Amino acid sequence: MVDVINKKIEKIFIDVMGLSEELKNFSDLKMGDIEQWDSLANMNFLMELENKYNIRFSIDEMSQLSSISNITKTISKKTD
Amino acid sequence: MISSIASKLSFAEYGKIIPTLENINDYDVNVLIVFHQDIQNNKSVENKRYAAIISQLQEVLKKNKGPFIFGYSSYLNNQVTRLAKNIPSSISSAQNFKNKLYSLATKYPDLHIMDLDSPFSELGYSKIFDIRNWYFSHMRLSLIGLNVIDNAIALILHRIYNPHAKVLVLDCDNTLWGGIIGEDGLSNIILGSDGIGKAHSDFQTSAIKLLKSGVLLSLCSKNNEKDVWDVFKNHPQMVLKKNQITNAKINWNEKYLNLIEMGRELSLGLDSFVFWDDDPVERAKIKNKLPEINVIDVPSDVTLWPKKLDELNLFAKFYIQSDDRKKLTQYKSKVKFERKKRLSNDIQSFLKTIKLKPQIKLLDKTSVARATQLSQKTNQFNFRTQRYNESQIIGLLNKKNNNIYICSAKDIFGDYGQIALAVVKKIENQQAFLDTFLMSCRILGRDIELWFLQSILDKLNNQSIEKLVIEYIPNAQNIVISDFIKKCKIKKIVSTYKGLNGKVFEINTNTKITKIENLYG
Repeated sequence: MVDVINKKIEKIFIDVMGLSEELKNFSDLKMGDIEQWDSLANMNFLMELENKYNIRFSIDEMSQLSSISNITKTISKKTD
Repeated sequence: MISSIASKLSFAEYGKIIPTLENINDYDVNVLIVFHQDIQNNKSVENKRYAAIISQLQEVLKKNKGPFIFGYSSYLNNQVTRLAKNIPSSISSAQNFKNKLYSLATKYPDLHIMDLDSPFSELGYSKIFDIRNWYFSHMRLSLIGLNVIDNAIALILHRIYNPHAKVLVLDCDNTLWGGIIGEDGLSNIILGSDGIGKAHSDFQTSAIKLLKSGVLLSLCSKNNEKDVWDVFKNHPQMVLKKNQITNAKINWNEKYLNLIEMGRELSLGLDSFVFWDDDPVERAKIKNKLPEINVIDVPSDVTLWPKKLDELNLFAKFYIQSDDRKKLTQYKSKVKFERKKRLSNDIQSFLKTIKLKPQIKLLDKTSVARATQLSQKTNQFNFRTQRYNESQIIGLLNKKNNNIYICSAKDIFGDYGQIALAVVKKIENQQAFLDTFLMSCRILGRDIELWFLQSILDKLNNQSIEKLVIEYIPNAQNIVISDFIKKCKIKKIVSTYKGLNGKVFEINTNTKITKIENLYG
C-alpha cells in the first residue's frame, strides 16, 4: 500500500516541482534537499496532494509534512 | 498556464509591496497582486497605504518597463446587517483605490488592471480563499483561487501579444432559431417569446453586442438563400437584421469553401474567424479542413449560448475605439468593392469610377491610439513590421527629426477611416529613413499605397530632403511588399547599409512613381 502511494506521490512531486526525471531515494527526501523544494513549492505540492487524493490536511498536519516519509504516512492514514 | 507562456518566472517576497515596486528590474512582464484584506486598517492607515502604492506604481510606469499587470481583490468579509444602512469606510477606500488604478491605466498604456473581484465572485469567495493556507504560509488563496489568477493573467497576456478575432460566422437553422426553415416553415421555427425560443433570440442579441464592439457578423448556412432572408424580413421575433450581416454564404456548398471565400472577400486571415454551428459534424469538418479557424465547441443546451457568446475571450479586447464601430460599413463596402472589381476588366478606370479620396496628414495626439493599433496589427502590407506600443509612438512623435504621417480614405462605398501609417526619420546628408510604412490590408487593391508613398516623397522633396532610404524585411506574411516594390520600380542598393539587415532601397524624393493627379477620378 505504502509503495503504491509512494509512486503516485512521486509523480505529483515531479510534476509540481517541474523536474525532468525520477529521483534517487525519493522516499528519503526532505524539504530543502533539492533546490526546487522550497516553502512556496511545498505549499503547491501539499495543495495538489489534497486535490488528487480528495483529502484535507489540518494545519497541525501541514507543519509536519516536510518529508516524503511523513507525507506518505499521513496520506495512507487518511485514505485508509 | 502561465508557466507555459513565461520562460522564466520569479517571485518577489510576500507582503512587501513598496520595496518590490522600488526594486523592479528588467522583466518582460510584471504582475503584482494586492488584496484589500492585507491593506485593511483604520481609514487613515488604509488611505496612506494606497497612496503609497499609487505613487510608487506611477514611478515604475514612468520608466516604461513593459507590460504591468496589477491584480486587485477588494474582497472583505462583511455581514449583511452591517451593510444594511451604510457603506463601511473600508469599502469606500477600496473603491477609491480602484478608481485611481483605472485613471493610471488610462494614462499609462503599459498598465493593465486585473480586477479579481469579478472572477472571484463568479466562483464564490469561500472557494477562492482558504484561511488555513493563510495561517500556514501567509497565502490567502486555495488551489482554485490560484488557478483563477493563473487563468486571468494568461488571458490578459494573451491579448497584449495577440490580436482578437474579428468575424463571427453563424449558422442559421438550429442556431439563430430552433428548427429548420426549409422544412418547418416560417410560422413553425422556434424563436422569441419563452423558453428555448427566447434563448435563440437572446443569442442574437449577444451577437449584436459583439457587432457594436467592432466584430463582423457573417452567415454560413446550408439553405435556400430566399428562405433565410424571408425569416430575417418577416419573422416578428427576429432580432438580427439583414443589414447587420457583413457577408452571407447561404448555399449548399461545403462550408469550408464558403469560409475560404469569405476570408478572401474580407481580406482577413482565417485565424480571425470564429465559427459557431450547432452541428458537431459541420464543426468537425471545419476543424479538419481549416484548423486556423476558431471553432466553438457549442454546448447542446441552447440556454447556455447567450452567456457563452458574451464571455468568448476570442473577441475580448482592452478598448473599443470609435473606428471599431464603423467596421461593419467598412467591410460591407470592401465586399462590394471586391465583387465589382472582379467584374471589371480595367482596374485603372475602375478606380476612377469609385471616387476614391485619400488624405495624408501629420500624426497628432488624437490619432495615437489608432496609429498604435495599426502598428500592432498590420501584418501583410508592412515593410519592416516594427511593432510600437502607445508610449513608443508618443516617444517617436516627440522627436523633432521624425515625421509621422497617417493616411485616411473614403470612396463611394464608404469611409475607411485611418488606414495607413508612415514613420519617416531624418538622417544626415539630406536623407531620410522610412522606419515604418504600412497599410491595413482591407484597403489593398486601390493603389493607395502608391499614392501614400508618392505624397511622402513630394513632402520630403519640399523639405529639401534628397533621398529616402527604404528597408524591406521579408517574412512569411508580407510578401505583398515585393510586388509593390516592383510596381514602384525602386532600385535596390547592392552594398550593405549601416545597421540594416533587410533589403535596402533608396529613392530620390523627386521621383514620380505614379502620376498622382491621374490616379483617381
